[in-house]
Amino acid sequence: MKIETLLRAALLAIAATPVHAGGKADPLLGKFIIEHWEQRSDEQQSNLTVQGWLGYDHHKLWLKAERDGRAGGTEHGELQLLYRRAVAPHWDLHSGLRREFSEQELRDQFVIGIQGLAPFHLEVDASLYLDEQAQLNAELELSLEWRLSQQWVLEPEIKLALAAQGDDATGDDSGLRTWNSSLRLYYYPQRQWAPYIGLLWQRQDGGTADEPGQTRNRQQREQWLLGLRAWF
Amino acid sequence: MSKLDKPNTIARREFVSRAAKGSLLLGLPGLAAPRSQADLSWRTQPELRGQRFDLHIDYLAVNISGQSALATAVNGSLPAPTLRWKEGEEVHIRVHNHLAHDTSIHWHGIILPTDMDGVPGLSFAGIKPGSYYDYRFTVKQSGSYWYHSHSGFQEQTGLYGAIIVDPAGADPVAYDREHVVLLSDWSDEPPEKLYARLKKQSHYYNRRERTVLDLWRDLRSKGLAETWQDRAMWNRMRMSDTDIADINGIAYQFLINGHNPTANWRGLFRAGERLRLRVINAAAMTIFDFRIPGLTMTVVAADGQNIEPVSIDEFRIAPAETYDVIVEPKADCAYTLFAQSIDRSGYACATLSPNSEWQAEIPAMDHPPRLSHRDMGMGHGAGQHAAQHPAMPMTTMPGHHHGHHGMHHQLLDSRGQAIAPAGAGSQRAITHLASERNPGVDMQAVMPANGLDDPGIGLREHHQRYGRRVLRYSDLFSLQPRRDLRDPERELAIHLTGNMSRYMWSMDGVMFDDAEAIVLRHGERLRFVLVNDTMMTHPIHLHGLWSELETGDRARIPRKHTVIVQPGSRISYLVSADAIGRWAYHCHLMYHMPGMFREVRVLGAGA
Repeated sequence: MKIETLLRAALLAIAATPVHAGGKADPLLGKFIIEHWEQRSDEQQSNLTVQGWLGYDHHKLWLKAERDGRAGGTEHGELQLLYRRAVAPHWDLHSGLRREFSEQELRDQFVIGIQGLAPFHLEVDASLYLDEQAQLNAELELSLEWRLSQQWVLEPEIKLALAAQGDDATGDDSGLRTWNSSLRLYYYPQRQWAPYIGLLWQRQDGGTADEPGQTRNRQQREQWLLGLRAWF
Repeated sequence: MSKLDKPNTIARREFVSRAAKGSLLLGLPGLAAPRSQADLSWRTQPELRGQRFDLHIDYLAVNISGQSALATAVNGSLPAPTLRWKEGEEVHIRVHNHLAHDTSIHWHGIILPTDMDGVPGLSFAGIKPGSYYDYRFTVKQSGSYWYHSHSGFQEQTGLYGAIIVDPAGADPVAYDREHVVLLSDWSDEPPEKLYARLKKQSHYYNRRERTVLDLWRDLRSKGLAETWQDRAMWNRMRMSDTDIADINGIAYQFLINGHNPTANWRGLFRAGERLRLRVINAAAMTIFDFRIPGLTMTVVAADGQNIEPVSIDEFRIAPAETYDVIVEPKADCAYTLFAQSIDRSGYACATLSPNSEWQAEIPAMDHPPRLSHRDMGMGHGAGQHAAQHPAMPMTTMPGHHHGHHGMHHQLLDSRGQAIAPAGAGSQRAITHLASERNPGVDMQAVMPANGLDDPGIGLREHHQRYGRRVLRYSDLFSLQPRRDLRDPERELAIHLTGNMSRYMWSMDGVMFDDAEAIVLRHGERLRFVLVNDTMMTHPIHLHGLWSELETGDRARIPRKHTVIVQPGSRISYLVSADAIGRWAYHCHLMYHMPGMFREVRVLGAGA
């Protein structure tokens, strides 16, 4: 009886040795995505948004970086280092750290969020950010891809930033801080890269933009975009 | 293993310089056009016959697309040489590995001892670089088969060839001349790169994605209500109805006997001859629809096994399947062998001609198919074949061909549950396992249709559209009467699962690396029920044991080694577990195979 058990165990151990019957199902892969690399019509503003990942089907190390520039410098930048995990056929959870850079300060936040594809092919990316002062912020991105032809794609996108508390230092209220909507028209000569043009409507509530201390400074502007998207 | 008796062993350095010279040669102006490729033009792969073979696996510089690329080939030939064996004889094949990686050869569809089957990790440890393996077994069958590497994605790079086994007695199929027609797909890019690309963007190769224009057309023709109804499911499922082939003509050149359409392989005949074409699909990822405009084909064998002849105009052939057809060209003119890919993104073609000059017209490709609700296992449009029958009490009488003629006793499986008799196919309701609920599974066929009578997507309306008769699995009946008439003792349902956008493939929601073996008892006879919970067409191959496709009559069940499971559908076949050992069981689409794979272990009485 014992011997049989041992034999079975040995058989199982042999079975567990690497099988090269086919290729590797879940190899370590990486992808680098230039989401937006664009010049905006207003005041020589530019934006670079990149993402990159390294990992497997279920587990990935995810990097998000964004840089808002203005002639000669960085107005605002951020870097997120996330662990992303598949939790449902179309959904991933992510968690990690974000560091925000601006001319005045550095701010580190803890991130937790969800990313995926909702019915009707709605791309969703939602995150909560918590900093050392227990300030809670949220960001939500929603986008759709309307395929006009095999090459031309129209992408409406909405980006919202919300704050749970007001900020005495800057005088910002709680609630909706920024509301960016955009419409980009991509031309894909190939699958992996596309130049695009677009329109951006930015609305910012509060003094976060230019002049700290000034309350209820509402800004609204429309801009043209010219940019490039690519992935490798 | 001796390292001395291999004159063909090439040191890595020497190989590299040789390959470089080859590409230099092929890169010369005027030689670069695909038509004038030095290695492959106008040549059929050599045929080796006898009982003792030496196969040398090595790199080969080829020029298939117009650019030089590196293939893996056997004895310097792509496709590999055709091996001709005789039923009843013992063959001894020594396979030498001159690659820098492990390799292996699997004899596809050949019934043999488990250690001769050539699957690394299951049958043996693989063939190490610089070493060899002796395959030795007695050939117990006849017909058209093929062989290929079972290591990594090597098969994609050219490691495939035909096997013809001549019968010991008289051949029931009479013919004057024969040709091997070996279909394959070729890419200059390394297969690992293609696979990685699909993982990063699964719809990369789909250039027929639905556009706003399609929506506009639907609204105009169907109206808002119907369009909404139609689109709602796709939108909820977040899937595309033009997702037909993961990789297609954008990446691939489609080949016949190693020749692309420009090179156009020629097979000769004389008017009035009976020609036997041994059509073998050795492609990694491509399902072909094969026809010869102007000629009716009589299918005489499927997967090497003789069937009752059936006349058709066209057949679908999935990777690893083989069909033998007889054609009788009466006219003294050329004909085109035309094999279009399932998504109509490209085709392979060749010429049958009385001489080496003539060429026939190459037809236009058919309309590209679109998936329907039926292909998502939603039942709509599946008609009488939808799996609406609940566990119907089926009855049988031993020896009766059709179970439902006799109403005497109900057949029960070993657990006391009702089971349909041999040939009838499973009548049980489909249940989905808890293991299917995970991020790797994006769909479940709620009402899977019966795939047996389905010619497949894009071919269903071919008779009305083009007046062509298309082969269906339900047309297949064994020519020789079956001797094993036993009813199945139990049913084994296996769900083919995956996630299109993550490009993950599995069985029952579990990928091979995490799965336990399917254990069969030696001598038992059981029914495999495959349920396709995806919208792709999967050819499923069981090593070592026959898949006896339940086309109705238990005495005429055809034996196959690879069975197409239509999208959102199910199909059942019987298996007699008559060979002890560890056998591979997998989807034969190369990039589905790593995950959609199981070990089937047949245990002896003592185990």
